[in-house]
Amino acid sequence: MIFCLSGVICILINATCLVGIDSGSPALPALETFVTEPVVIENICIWIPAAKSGPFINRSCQIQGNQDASFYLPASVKHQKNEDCPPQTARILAELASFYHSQSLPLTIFNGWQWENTYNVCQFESTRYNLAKRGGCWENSWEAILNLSCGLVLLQQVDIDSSEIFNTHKYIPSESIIEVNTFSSLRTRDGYPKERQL
Amino acid sequence: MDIPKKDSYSKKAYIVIFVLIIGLNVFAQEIQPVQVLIDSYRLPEKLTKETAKKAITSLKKALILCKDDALKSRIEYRIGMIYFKSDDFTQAIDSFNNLSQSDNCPPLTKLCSLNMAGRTYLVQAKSNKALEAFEDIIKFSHIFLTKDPNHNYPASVLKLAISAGFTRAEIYLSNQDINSAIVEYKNIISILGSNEVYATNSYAPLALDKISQLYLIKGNIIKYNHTASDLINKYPHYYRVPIIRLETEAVKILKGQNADISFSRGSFDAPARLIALIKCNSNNALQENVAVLMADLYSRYEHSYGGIMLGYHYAWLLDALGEKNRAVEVLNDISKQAVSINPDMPNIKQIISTLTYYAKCQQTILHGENNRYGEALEIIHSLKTDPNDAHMLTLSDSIEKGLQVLKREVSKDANDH
Repeated sequence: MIFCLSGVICILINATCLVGIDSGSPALPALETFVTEPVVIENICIWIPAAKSGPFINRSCQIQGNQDASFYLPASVKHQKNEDCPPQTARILAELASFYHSQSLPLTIFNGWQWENTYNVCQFESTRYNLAKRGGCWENSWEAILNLSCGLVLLQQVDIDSSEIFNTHKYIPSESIIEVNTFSSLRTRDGYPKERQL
Repeated sequence: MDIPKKDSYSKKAYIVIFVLIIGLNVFAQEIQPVQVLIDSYRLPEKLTKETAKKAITSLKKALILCKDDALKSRIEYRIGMIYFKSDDFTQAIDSFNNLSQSDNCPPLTKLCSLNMAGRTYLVQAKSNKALEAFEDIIKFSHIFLTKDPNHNYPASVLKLAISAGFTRAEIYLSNQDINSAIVEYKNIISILGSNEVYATNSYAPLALDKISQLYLIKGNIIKYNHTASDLINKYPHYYRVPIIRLETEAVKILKGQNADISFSRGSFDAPARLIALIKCNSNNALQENVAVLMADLYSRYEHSYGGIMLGYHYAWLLDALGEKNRAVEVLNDISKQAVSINPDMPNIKQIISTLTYYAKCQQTILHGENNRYGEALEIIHSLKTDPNDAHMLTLSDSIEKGLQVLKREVSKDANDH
């Protein structure tokens, strides 16, 4: 009888210990795993004032002069990745962002997760305008479409207590952020180039 | 007679003690692995190779002592996680694959192992293997299905399955496989079904948004319109709804004007293309219709990210139509609204800041054209320019220089009188 009782006690102790193992026993920490939140790339395409030159005044009252006007609309890629964000995750972000700019930025070559961007690929040619004679003045104004992509990918730690309960939190800084700027459809604004009579 | 009784009592006592010792020993064997497992969670988040090696050695010893399959699986999973955190991906994948193929592994641990196998393959740039692992998660998650039609997946399972679905779609998109990406996004919507879980309730509109864009890129206008309408009707509070409404209308008008037009980048550039069309088109009815449409949408969605985007496009449309004063008012209005919006997402913050910057630049240009140099200079002086943005720096500079010259040389500035 005593033998049976003590046996039962031991079995119960063991069973209690084992049952708790996969049923969210408070003794065990939650199951930790990692997920990435869906890549969110916000693309916008807006008209912007692209450049302004002048007014340039012909103060010396030369008969006629030439005025160079040149400006840059530099395409740019700013891509950052925390040390703990897997390079392949950052690479997917860069590739998805490049998809939207493939027409304006044909050079989408990747070195690991980084986008090998040649800066200033969208430079526009400089132009020359006649500077009005006898104290006249000249100015120009341009507008263009800015294509901007701002993207983010974030690695999250998910602590699973049970099939119904979980908590998410940021794993030690592990995100990648990208910002891609390109310009297109450059045009001279209505009424420009303008010759002013000052 | 007394002596045999004492003997029998002491015998029984010995048996009890013996059984208890055996029982406690078995118990202790389980307690020790549990303790080793718990201790392994006290490690710092950043693991050195040495710390990881030490922890794994202890966990492997505990694994030998362990008799219970569920506990064994948890220890094996933890070993995989420590390998993963210490960048030993080959060993990590072995642990996760062992678990995901084991019949004795509890379902939740198995699901997490499949997830980590997929993540590890992704880190190793093995996209095809990652696709397979993430597909296995989605298939395996079916065993958790409940009979409740409004809540058919438990929350944790849903989180992992949806994340797997999005990662699959993103891998397909990075390979420019649009058709497979659409299938994957549709699959996400079907998994989400009518599940009402706070942590996943923004995923369905996001997936629908992606699907509609991909249909448009493929040139399927009917499916694009259908999906976008579905999104607007079902998720009116989705943050991109105001912009989607403008984009769908812009696509319709542009398509109506030119049946051969294509949208290889989706609908994002449709409003800007529409403004360009209006500027070159002398069709008064078309100009009026678009102006009414944009005014209506802008008035509905003020004080939101979408509203600011709408306002910006509306101001440029007014500018194209020659209504410069009204354009200045709208640009001024959205700059004020932007101050009151504080989005959580850093990318939305960046876009609002860019929009505000260009809205102010455009205001100064319009003021300058209207000979209001004083007001224009006041705005340009208030501009906060990102020192890392080459375009913004040169633009602000050139606008300001031009205005200074005009203010000095032109006597028409109303504020000077």
